Amino acid sequence: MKGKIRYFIIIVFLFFFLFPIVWIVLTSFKSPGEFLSHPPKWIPREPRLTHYFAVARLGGYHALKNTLIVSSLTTVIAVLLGTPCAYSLARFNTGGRNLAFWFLSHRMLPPITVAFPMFLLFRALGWIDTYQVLITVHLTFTLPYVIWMMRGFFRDIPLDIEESAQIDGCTPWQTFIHITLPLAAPGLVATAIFCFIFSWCELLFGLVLSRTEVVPLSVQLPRYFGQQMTFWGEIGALSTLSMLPIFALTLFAQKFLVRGLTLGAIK
Amino acid sequence: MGTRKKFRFTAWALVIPSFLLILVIVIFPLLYSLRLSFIHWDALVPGQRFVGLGNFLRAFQDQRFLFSFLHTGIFLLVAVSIEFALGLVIALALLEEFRTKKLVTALFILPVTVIPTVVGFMWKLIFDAQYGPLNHVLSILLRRNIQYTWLAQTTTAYLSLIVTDVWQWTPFMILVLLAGLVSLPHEVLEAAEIDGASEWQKIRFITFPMLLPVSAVAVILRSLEVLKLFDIIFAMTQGGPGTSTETLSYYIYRSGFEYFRMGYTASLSYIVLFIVSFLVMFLFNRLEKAAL
Repeated sequence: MKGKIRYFIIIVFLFFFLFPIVWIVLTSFKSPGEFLSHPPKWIPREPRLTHYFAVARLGGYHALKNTLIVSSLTTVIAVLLGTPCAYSLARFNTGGRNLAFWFLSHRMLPPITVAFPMFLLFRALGWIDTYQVLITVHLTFTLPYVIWMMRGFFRDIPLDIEESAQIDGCTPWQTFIHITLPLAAPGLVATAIFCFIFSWCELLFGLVLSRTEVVPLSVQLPRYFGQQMTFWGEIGALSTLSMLPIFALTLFAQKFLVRGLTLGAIK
Repeated sequence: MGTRKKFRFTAWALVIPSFLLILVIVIFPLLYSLRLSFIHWDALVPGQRFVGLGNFLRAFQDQRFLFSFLHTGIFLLVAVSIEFALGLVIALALLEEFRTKKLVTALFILPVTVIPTVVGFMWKLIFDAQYGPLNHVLSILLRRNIQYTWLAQTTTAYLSLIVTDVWQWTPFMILVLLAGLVSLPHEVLEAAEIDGASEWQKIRFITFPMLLPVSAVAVILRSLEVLKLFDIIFAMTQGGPGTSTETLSYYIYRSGFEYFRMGYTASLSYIVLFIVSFLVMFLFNRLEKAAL
């Protein structure tokens, strides 16, 4: 595609994709008089941080902390358990292709199909509204993801490199730590970032398995929306805070974005 | 022989922890749910009894379930088609080099990473009848005061949800199709150009067919996500007005967590699981071809 049409398309759609983000960020700096005005005020006259303080009283930072803890621990556990498993699948072909696909199939499982029995079981265990329940449940989609992605990254590393290291006297363990793992490190970092984002964005499990204490961001936000009045300023502030870390992380994983989002089907 | 055996042992030892964990946290609930699906158990009414396939038969007579199925199906067709078409157009526009390409591509990606609940609220605010910028802009363009309640009418509620989904997921299509376009062999396109093919002919007869495998993966992945559609419904319409925007996931959620129909909810889940497994089989087929 060439010429003016091309730039026209790019500019129009860039506006379409950025406008909602800009609007919610602007809303977080507006006074209630500005976002509750008709017609709406586009730019806040005096940008204010009041909503960023107000959201603290309404449990916003607590939810941010919860999500941060759940996403980080989920990612760490998924990577620690999944990477060795992926290595075994990639190098020793453990369980064949079927086992690899068995793991991956859990990534595709619609949360709603397990949410209900999980709720009943975890309620029986007394785990509702705890960190461990959210982390455990988030592992159902992050762990299969790590296993599948890392299997792909390990398979990309030529076998010759490992073999020559072993001829030079490395034990299999040394080969893995000093040769294979560093070579797979960029992929590992990207995979971890994706796990973090998936866990960060998750709503349904959080909704079902939390009550008042360990409430994640995605569940806290809708609570600011009420029949009588809506705390748009607070929603704006918390939304803005929820986007910043993810945007920063995405930049780091940009090179692997397509591969990460298509489960390695497109490299 | 001894070392080989030791290797096999190590190989399995690395797999077992993950295997057991998934077995316990996914397969166990699924089995429990399978048992529930054959039982009539309403938490609001005491007692439970075995009904065999009764719950499944009930599902096919349940208007709301059938409609939620229909809503999800229509949503899938419309939203994924728009996302694909827009994605392809924008990917083609982004294909050739220009000065700020890297930055622009990075900006296009942003919506994919926003929490879907947040996306729902962003658009709820934009569609807001009184305070939303959309009605404001329309008022200016049409020169009269417009206070249209987008999310309160069935048709426009649908439209709004589709716009929201398109907003979040078109960037995914752009990204994937752009990757596909970049990897196309240059020679074929150049040969076509020498032979005098027009821009449209090149797209229609060369680019499009060669992009098919990549497109298939993207469409299947998106379809799987739409079958799970829940978050933006929860944030924007709660299935309303009435039950007109209820999706499969949203209806099952209500059935379980608002009406507490234990057995019935479990059987609905299994129906969805069955549908999803079909798509997943297609996907795995594609992945196998890509990986080997």
